[in-house]
Order: sequence, then structure tokens, then C-alpha cells
Amino acid sequence: MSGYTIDLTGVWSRRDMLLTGLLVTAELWILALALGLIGGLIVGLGRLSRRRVLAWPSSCVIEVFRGTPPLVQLFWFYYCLPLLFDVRMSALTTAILSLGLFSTAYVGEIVRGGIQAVHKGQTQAARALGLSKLQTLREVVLPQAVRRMWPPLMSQAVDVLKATALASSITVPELMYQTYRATSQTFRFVEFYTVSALIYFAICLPLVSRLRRLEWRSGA
Amino acid sequence: MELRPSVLWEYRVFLLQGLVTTAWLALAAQALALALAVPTAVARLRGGAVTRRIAGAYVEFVRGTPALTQLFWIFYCIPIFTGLDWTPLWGAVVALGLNVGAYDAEAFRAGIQGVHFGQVQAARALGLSSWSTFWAVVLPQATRSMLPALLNNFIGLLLYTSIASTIGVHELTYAGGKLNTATFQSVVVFTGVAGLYLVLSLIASAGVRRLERIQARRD
Repeated sequence: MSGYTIDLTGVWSRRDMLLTGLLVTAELWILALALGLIGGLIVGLGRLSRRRVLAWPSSCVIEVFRGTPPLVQLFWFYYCLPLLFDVRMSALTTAILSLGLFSTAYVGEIVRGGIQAVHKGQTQAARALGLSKLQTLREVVLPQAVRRMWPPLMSQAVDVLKATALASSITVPELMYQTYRATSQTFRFVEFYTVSALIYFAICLPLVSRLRRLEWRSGA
Repeated sequence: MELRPSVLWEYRVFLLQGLVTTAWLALAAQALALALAVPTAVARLRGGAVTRRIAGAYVEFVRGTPALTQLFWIFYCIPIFTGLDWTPLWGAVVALGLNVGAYDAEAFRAGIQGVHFGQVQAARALGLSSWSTFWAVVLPQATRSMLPALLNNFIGLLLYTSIASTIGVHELTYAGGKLNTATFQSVVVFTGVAGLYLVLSLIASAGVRRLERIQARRD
């Protein structure tokens, strides 16, 4: 160390900034995740459908949003949506939509994997017992699939939280944005970036350790 | 609003330069990641209490914080501690390499654990030292089984190089941003840039699938 002294007074006096940022991060995270769960269920089932009108668009959403950087997706939604559809959205709404579709693609693959892992005999048995296709899916296949989907879904939740930091580049006032703003006022890079990283870590840690236990139990 | 797809062609050299930097960044970070991943995985499996802790803390901390935060921390804070004067490009190589190194270390760990213990016993019984057992017997088998995971991590890295644009590395996303402000052709520019990334990652994932098929046939 070249004689650098840590001084946390700047961080403490700007705790409000970090806290407001954290709240925006939480809002963005939860809403994007909710959108991702709903969308992911739709495109995951859609991709498995035998009907091409359902399977093809679902595959497109999954491939495009998994195959491009989330940062470029954010830029695309931020700059292009207002031009293409003449809509006015706040940066936060744009980020929720963009990250929501990003997680839709990944959740879609998790849903597909979970359903494909359920033994075919289960469906055949349910159908033979006279259950409709929808009943088979809802009462037999999904409950079994969901149990397998838990660990990857939790790891996806962690990934979406980490991706919310990218929204700072389209001016969403979340934690990373506030951290950056605070450093440009105080030049206390080490203190602010460390504290900010620790905040993210503190949110991820319970999820990750719970995930570890789940994986341990399922023997994966 | 008028769409002029021709701007992509007019500025092809500019975009191509960005693409080359993206590829270079991804490969350099991948090299660093592999150099970090093997010792980290070995430390987590065979190390003493201290090295095990350090390696574990590295992996957990990287996996529990956003890559963007890591990038900013490394790019801005390392020079403060070391007095090092570095370019954004090198900052991005180190930050992305450290990031993917942690994920690769987990892949290596799973791969090494997956090698049957009998292999080690047999190698030791044949008189190989513990170092050559690891290097010549365990690692080659582990690498084969985890190659798909490593390649998937590489695809993720390829896409995540885009965050280097935020510290001013002139890669593809940065080129797209500049082109956007120069031409106001947002739709054309960002769709084009996204399309380039998509082509890269689709080619890479087709490669992974092919590899998995070849391996499945061999087994």
C-alpha cells in the first residue's frame, strides 16, 4: 500500500444516497424477476409446444436474450423503444422491462429443462387416467418440475440482482449509480466501491448458501 | 424517423475494430481466468486451512457481487493502492479474468471431484508422484468432462466484455455508443451491434453442442 488511509466518514455522510439506491435496486430486482418468472413460464412451455406459432417465437426470445449482452439489451430498450413505438418510459421502467425479458429467456430454459426432466410415463399415466392436457400439466408435470427448478431459479435470482447494476449505465438511480455519483463527489473510490460491493454480497450470500444446501440435498 | 441501415456499412471499419478489441479482451481474460482457476480449484480441494479459506473467499466474493462493481473496484482502486498507471483495457482484462476465473474454478473443482478415486490410486501404485498424478492423470480427465461448462463460461465472458465500455474500453458496445451519438441511428446501430454479439454467441454455442455430441458418442 502506498500510504493510503481508509476514511469512511464520506460514506457515512452519504448513507442516504446509498440507501435510496438500494431501494431502487430492490424494486428493479423484484419486478424484473417477477416479469421473468411469468414470461419464463410462457416461453418455456411455448418452446416445448408442438405448434410452431408458439414454439418459434418462444425460441426466438430465448435465443436472442441469451445470446446478446444484457448491457446492449438495456441500451437497445433505452434508445430504440421510444423511437420505434413512440412511448415515453422512465429509465427505471425501461430497465425493468429489459431485465425482465433477460430473465424471461433464462427462466424459460430452466422451465423447459425442468419439464423435460419429468419422466414421460407420468404424462402418459395421467392422460390414460383421463386427465386433460392442461390438468396433466398443472396437476402432474409442473409440481414435479418445480421441485427440480428451485436451485437453478435461485441462482438465476442472484444473476438478475447482479445484472441490475448494469441499469446504472442508462441512468437508473440504483445502488451502482449512486455509488458512482458519490465517488465523483468525494473521490473516495476505495471506500464507496467496497461498501457497495459488500451490500450486494450481503444480499447474495443468504441466497447462495441456501442454494448450496439445496444442491447438497439433491446430490448435485 | 428514417432508418438508414447503410450506416453499419459506412462505419464497418470502426465497428470491426470494436469487434477485434472485444475478441482480444475475451481471449486475454480467458487466459488469465484459466491461470487462476486451476490453482484455485486445487487449493479448495487439497489446500491447507488457510489457502482453502482464501480460495473459497475469492470464489464466493466474485460470485456474490456484480461484475460491473468488480470492474469499477479494480479499475479505480488498484492504482490507488499500487500506484500502477494502467489503461482501461488492462483493467478490464484483469477484472473480467478474475471474474471468470472464479466460475471456471468451480467448474474445475466439479471436474476434478468427478474423476474416480481409483484413477489416483492406480497412478500412485504405478509410482507416479502426486504432482504427475494430478497433471498427467486427473487434470486431463477432468478437463474433458468439464469442457462444456468452461466453454459456456467463455460465451458468458464474451457477452460480458460489453461492460468494459463503461470504463472506456473501445470495444464493440463502446463503438456502438459512439456511432449512435454520431449518426442518431439508434435502432440500426444497436440492432446491428446486438446482431454481431448474437452471431458470435450462436457460433460458439453451436460449437459447444457439437463438442457435447462428439463426447457423448465417444463415451
